[in-house]
Amino acid sequence: MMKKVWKIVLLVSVILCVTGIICAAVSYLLGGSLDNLYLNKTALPILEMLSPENILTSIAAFFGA
Amino acid sequence: MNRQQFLAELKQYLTFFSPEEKAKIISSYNEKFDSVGSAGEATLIAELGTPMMTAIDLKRRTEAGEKIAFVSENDLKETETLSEYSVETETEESLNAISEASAETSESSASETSDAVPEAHESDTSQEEKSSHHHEKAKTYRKTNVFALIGASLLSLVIAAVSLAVAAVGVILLIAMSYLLLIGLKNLVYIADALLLFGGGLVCAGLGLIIIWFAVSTAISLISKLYRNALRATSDKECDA
Repeated sequence: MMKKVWKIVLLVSVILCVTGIICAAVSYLLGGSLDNLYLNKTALPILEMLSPENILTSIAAFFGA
Repeated sequence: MNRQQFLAELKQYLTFFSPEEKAKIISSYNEKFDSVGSAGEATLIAELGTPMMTAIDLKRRTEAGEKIAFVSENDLKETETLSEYSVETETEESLNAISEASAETSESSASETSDAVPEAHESDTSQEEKSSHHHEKAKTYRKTNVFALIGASLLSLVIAAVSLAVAAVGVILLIAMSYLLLIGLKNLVYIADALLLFGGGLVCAGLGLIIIWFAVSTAISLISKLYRNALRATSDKECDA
């Protein structure tokens, strides 16, 4: 049972990773990069929200530190 | 060769045909013999030739009537060899016919033998004519086959060239289309950023799934081990008590 679930999880994660890499490659071909992404004003609020510093702050706030 | 021998041999040589066709052919030849009668039996046999030649003739006729274009060279060679063989057998058979005729004359009269021998000779000449006719036919078939082969190979070459050209045009059009698509998409900044985010998100989700599953499986195995140990400990205590 565990083995079956492990196999399914591995397969799904591999598919997700491969798809993500393909998407990143296509984006790179289209001229996309992280620097350009940070220059995008629409994407900036989301990126700031997902930044490691912000995540750590929110975790600390959650645990009341 | 008499009627019975002819029909028996003909039946043996009709291997190309189905049993029904065989039966039809044999019945038709029986009717022919019946129509001629016993007097014209020898003449009819001389006209027909050997049973092998008759069988080959029948086969050729059916092929010519139905699918003459598919007659291969091998078939022609086979028929040629068969016809050559039939000529040889014919001479043997004619000799047999002569010997039979001579045997009959020893029983009946000497005048009948003088009639039988020329008939055999006539059948020989007619068979030779027929075999030469078959040879000519086979040669013409072979010539037409060679021309058909050359024509078919040329036609196939032309078709292959045309199909290759069409495929090449298709590939060029596909490359041009993808190039134009890339140029068009490069102007859309949001798509590149969105794809980058989407790809990064997918990779993170995949890695996260593995990490989560690893944590869950470790927790399950740890809990099950702890539970087993606890069960063992309780059972040991009970045993000690």
